[in-house]
Amino acid sequence: MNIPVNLFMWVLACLPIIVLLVLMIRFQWGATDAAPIGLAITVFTGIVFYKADLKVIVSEGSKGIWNALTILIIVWTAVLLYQVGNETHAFLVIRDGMRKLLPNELLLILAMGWIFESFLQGITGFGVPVAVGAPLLIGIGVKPMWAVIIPLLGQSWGNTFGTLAAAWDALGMSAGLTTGSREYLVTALWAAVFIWVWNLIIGVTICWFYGKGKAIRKGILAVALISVIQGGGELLLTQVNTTIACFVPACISLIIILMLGRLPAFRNEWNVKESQIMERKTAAQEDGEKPEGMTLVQAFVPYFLLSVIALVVLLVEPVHTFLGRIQIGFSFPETVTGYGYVNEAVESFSPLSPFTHASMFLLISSLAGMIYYRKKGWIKKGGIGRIFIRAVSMTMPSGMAIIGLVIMSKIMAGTGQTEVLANGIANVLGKVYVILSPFIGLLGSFMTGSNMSSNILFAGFQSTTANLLHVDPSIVLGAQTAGGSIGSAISPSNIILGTTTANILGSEGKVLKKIIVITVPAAVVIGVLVFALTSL
Amino acid sequence: MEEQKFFRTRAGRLTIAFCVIMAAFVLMLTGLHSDNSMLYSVGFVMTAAAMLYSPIEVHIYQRLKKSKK
Repeated sequence: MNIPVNLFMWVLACLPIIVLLVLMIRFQWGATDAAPIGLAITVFTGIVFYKADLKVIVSEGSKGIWNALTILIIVWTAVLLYQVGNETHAFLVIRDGMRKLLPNELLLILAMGWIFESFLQGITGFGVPVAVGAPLLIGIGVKPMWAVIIPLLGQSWGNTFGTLAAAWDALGMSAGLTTGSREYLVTALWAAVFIWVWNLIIGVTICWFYGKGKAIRKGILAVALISVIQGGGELLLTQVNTTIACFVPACISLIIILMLGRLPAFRNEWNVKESQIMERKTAAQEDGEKPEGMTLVQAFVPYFLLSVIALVVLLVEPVHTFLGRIQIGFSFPETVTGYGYVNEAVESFSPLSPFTHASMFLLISSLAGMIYYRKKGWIKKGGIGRIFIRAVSMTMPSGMAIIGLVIMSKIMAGTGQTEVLANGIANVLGKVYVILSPFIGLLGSFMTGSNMSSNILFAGFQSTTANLLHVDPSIVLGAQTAGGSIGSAISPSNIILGTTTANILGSEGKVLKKIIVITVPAAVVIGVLVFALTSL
Repeated sequence: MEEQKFFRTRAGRLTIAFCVIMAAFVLMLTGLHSDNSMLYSVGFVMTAAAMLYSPIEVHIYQRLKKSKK
């Protein structure tokens, strides 16, 4: 490529992201309104300054729409699953049932906001834990904004090895790591080490949000134990089987937290009265709407189904192979910008396997849940129609934002803006660049909404830069994907999923403002760690 | 009646915008495959218009409406 990497071009490549952040944080615009502005700037700079013709823009834009669609069908079906629970008021049963099992409110928040999300991230991912977790937390009395923030943090550590290690596989593929090779295992080890640091930060942060120092003192041992199981378990399993490295520890932690609730330290009712995240009155007012005779197990029926279907389809190899035969994908021609930046032709771009896709598991669980609850009489006449109408109304605004953001990231990548952005950082900073390696992963997740896409975008670049600077690429790649995991907590498309199901759409800026002060310092900590390790 | 009401809401109008993008997607794909620049240009304009509907409505049209009142 002949794109000049200078300050002017670098600032232009940054511009859409800066504008997006300013509109959302400073001016409190919702992502539905901010994303099209960022996209318009990307198209303008792409055509005028990066010499892309309309064919490049249209081709990358179409790829973006296709990628957005594969995300949106997860959003729609996740919201459909949520609406099934909403129509039957199953969340009130879950709230009361979990309260009985975990009378300690801090432990309850950790279970519903961190552990359950980790479990969902282990199998589904793509924002499902945020979409499903937010209404569950509101059900137990958490304020809507915090009910979005906590699952965003809670699910994020599982983004690399979660979804049965989809993002990790993308990293390995993009950086050219051979499965099982020494480089592969060392990179997995470093990635797990950095993610463990982030996992511990998440637990402590949720305690801090709930009740500052008082909650940290009460919950630190539980957090440490859960973190050892999740972070440490993942670290060990990466050396055995990366596919289950997140899912297995997440399942174990779910069992452990319920057992912790039986210990003398946690079995009695305990809460922080003045907790900033709780709105106990609102939750208590809804008691009259509780469905008659519904047990906790019955309230979880769609989620149990979701777990069983996902596990069978993803882990039973013959089933996975058979259902994965049908794939939908479109071919795209080669496009070249005026600077010679080539987007190679593809036969089948990002093929979608509808029967092994998370949206199919969500759809089947939702439909089966509807049939089950209808038979039990918990869905009244006209309820099914209401579920579908509410699901469509709830998802459309977020759908437009997701389309805008994904097209923006595709056009940035396809016109060479992403590469200039990354190259500029490396050229200016030299070896100090390694401190920023997790930031690049974070930036990728922020832009694309996915750790996997971040790894596809930047793993090759990070590996090449590390080799140029004579530092261990395994450490830098580990930091890349750990940064990507952290970035999934601030990705606008993930935030929108939460604000949609929490019914506070338009508050994305406020949510982002609260989380960014946790994620950026966490990336700094990992960056400094990477610098220290590569300087040894 | 219900349908008419839905399409008058913000979610309803965004649903229309989404449908426009889907139609534009088909035009752009067809245009790229057949190397028909007219077809994919129309698709591009449709996508741009549908994407910009929300910020224009919320931050320009409604503000102008308020200031007129």
